[in-house]
Amino acid sequence: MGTVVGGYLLAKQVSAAASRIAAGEGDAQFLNAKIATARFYLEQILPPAVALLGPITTGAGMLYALDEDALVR
Amino acid sequence: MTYSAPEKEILFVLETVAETPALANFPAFEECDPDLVAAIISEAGRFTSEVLAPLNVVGDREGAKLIDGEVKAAPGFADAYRQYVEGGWNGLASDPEYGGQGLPHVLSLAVEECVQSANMAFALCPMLTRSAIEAIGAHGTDEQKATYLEKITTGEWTGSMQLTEPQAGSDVGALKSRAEPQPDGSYKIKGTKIFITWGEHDVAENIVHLVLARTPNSPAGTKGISLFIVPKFLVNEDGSLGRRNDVTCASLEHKLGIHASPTCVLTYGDNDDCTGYLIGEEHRGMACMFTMMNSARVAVGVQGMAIAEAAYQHAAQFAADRVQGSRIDDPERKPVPIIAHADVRRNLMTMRALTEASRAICYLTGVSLDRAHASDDADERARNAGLADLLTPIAKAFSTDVGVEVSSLGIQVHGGMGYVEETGAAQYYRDARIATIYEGTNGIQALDLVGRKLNMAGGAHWRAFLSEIRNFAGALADDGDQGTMKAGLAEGVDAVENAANFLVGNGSEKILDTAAGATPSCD
Repeated sequence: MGTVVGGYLLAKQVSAAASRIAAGEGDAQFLNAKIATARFYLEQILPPAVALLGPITTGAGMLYALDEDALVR
Repeated sequence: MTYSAPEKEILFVLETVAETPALANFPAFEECDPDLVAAIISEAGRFTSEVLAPLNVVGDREGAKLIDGEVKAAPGFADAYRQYVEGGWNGLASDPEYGGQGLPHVLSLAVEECVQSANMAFALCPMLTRSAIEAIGAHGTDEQKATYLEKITTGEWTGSMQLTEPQAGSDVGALKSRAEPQPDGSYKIKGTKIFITWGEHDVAENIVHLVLARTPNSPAGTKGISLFIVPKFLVNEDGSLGRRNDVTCASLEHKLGIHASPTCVLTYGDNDDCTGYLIGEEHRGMACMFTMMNSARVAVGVQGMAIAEAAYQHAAQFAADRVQGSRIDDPERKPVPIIAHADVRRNLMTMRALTEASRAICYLTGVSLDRAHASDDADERARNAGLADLLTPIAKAFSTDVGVEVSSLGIQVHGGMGYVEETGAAQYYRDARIATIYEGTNGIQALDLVGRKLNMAGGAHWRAFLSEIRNFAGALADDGDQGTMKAGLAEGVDAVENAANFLVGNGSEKILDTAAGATPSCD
């Protein structure tokens, strides 16, 4: 959930950065870096986190598949 | 390389994510205009890079030392703390009636970020003091406030929070420290506390310990715990310091990191003469702790993010300086700094992106607490309190995981140079490692998220927040920068919704399945 929330908040910043660039406000180098960083996050970091849906919803079965005795070598 | 506060980034996130300019509409924050915010961040950047950052490495190497029962802070720390107090940094968001400046919590968090990035071991001292300020501010009597609150708000005295005992870690209810009522209304405290951050030191003249203990015949578990103020030096009626209380630092822990933050074993009542004062009602000690839990957990999240920022700066500078090999697509094979290599770029971009994401999460959580307190609109207060409740375990767990991940990547960027202590990359990793553990392990944060927070108000908080994200994504353009983000966000929100429905739908009979999925839910 953290990765998705982070993606949303970075995307919000991209919108704000784009508005500032369009209005000729702010530090263009900083704003363009913000946009590139956010795009990297959305393209590279978000997808593996979305794939956690499987592990989250699989249940406890395999966590308890080994007896406590078998877990301790 | 030394830390330099990312002032543009901090201000941008405050303005666009926390929307701090709108806070000035609340009567409590009407003085908080953008110029003041910018001035505070600029000065915090200067102070932390000039005064605190230069002590980070020496603090790690020398550490705090226990000498004849007294803890001597690492070299330079006492003087730095004096400057911190004189600069008025401690009580930025605290009650003006007791020496604070009444500014928004989120602004205090942004300053705290700079302090934590520059020197995490130092930052822990004011961080714990702020929890004590909140506890006494919320639950202290007028007399207790008059005696302690202004001193710890200014930072002239520090505070400590004492829950853990050898047999009572995550299971606080197992604690055994005792508090015997005395005829004068005070209590005699007896017991042993461990893992007490800045529990004894020489950087301030007094320490106000907040100690959980049991009164006689109290119920077992957390329901029988009460909270006590136990000053290192008792305070006379005129406010001057009296006798030394019967609380002793028995030893300091040898730790993986934060060496300059003394982690104490404290014994109470070795001579049966440790005086404490009940704060809040008897048996309500855990409830008192809960009032400051959200802000303390967000502060630890900020700590994880702050270490990530420092590790990123360090690694990017190293990568720009260190020449090895040539670009894979350069036929002339010209030597280049490693920042030109794709793998190093991937590491640096990942570090940067994760740090910026966690900063945004922490600031949003912090400002939600501000709005939940300061708004004059009941709906807005409730909505923001719900959002803060929901986001707090995420801010803590996600951001501290980011701290470990990013500082680990920072070592990777350094290659073999990162594994030797000389470059300083390893210290961030060692320091960051504790943040996923204390203030409730990240596993406990995850259980808080899936067991409590997702079920609050019948799930209204997370559903409202997912709707907000969906609406935002829906309004984005279908192409360009916005187009790539639009598709990713839509998929992400669907995944979170499906996960949340599974986690809350298991009910009590399949609670183990919910617990099994808890930890990755915070990721």
